[in-house]
Amino acid sequence: MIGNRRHTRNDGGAPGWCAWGCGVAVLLLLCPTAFAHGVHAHAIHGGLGLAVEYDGGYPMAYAEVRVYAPDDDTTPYTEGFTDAEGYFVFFPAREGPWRMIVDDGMGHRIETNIAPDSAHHSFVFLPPRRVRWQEAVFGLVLIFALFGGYAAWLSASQKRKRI
Amino acid sequence: MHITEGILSAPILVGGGVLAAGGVTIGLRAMRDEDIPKTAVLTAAFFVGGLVHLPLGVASVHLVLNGLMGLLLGWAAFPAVLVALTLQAVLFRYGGLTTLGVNTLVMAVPAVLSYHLLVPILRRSRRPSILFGAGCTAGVIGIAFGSLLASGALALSSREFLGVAGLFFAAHAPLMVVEGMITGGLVCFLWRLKPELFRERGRSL
Repeated sequence: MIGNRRHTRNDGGAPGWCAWGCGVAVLLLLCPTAFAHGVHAHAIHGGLGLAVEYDGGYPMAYAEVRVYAPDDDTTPYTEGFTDAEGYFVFFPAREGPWRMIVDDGMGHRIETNIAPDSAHHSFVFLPPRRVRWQEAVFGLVLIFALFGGYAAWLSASQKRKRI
Repeated sequence: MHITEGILSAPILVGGGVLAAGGVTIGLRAMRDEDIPKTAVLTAAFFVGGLVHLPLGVASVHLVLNGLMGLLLGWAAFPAVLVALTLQAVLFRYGGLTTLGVNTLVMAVPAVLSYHLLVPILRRSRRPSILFGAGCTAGVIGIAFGSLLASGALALSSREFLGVAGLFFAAHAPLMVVEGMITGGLVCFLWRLKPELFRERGRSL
């Protein structure tokens, strides 16, 4: 009896299932976007990044950043802008030196290669080029030595001409 | 004001280098023996002035003092600027060695322009207001013409920079005011201290 019932139900239900299937297919085809997945977010820490500063220690804010993967030097892996504090962070997909170019579009540009640490992604601060007073004093000494040397050379050459 | 390496195209770098070399040669010929200590002092001032950065919006600017250099040195501003920029590039990585020529032009050409335009006025006048005005104008010319040259170099290097050339000039507008006031004050001070600084004539070119 049961088998007969099944047989009977199958015979009578086949056109109905086909109609349902065709209807769903048409709906799927007509629907421009299907949101098949839910969206979740979770906090992440780390990443590979730069903190870019001008010489005086001020952040290079909203400067254009291009990142090139270790094996592709032509097409940027990702692009973006530094934030108001001069930070830019991304998550490298693989090991190797990643080339990053930061350009504020006004004549200031920095290019650097940074490699993610094998164990933890690192956050790299470009060394701020702050004025070191020893170097400034050294520069001043060089200036006076250079001009002093030039004056001595001029005076020696004039003496030679007189002789 | 320092254009860093990797931005300008090769023709601009080479052209800038050649023109700067010409300017330096003229400057060395114009420099008399007695001008050398003055040139050394102004080179040192330019070198140190470039290290003092002031925050300006999202960027930072520094004193240039090329207007004052022009008034006191004339064409000798070229070798002075070259020496200071070389040391800034080597010691502090400001600008760069490949952009030395262009950066020298950007800062020394306005200095020479200030010299030819304003020194005749300074030699004729003793009124403090005119001295201050001439000094202010030299400071403004130094920054305005310098940023125009830098904008031009950027725009000629790449079309991408055409849009930012105006922004580069506008970003330096506050510095023009600051530099103008400082140069005006220094000219008045130096005139009182040693007026012959402005009366001395360089070697004829």
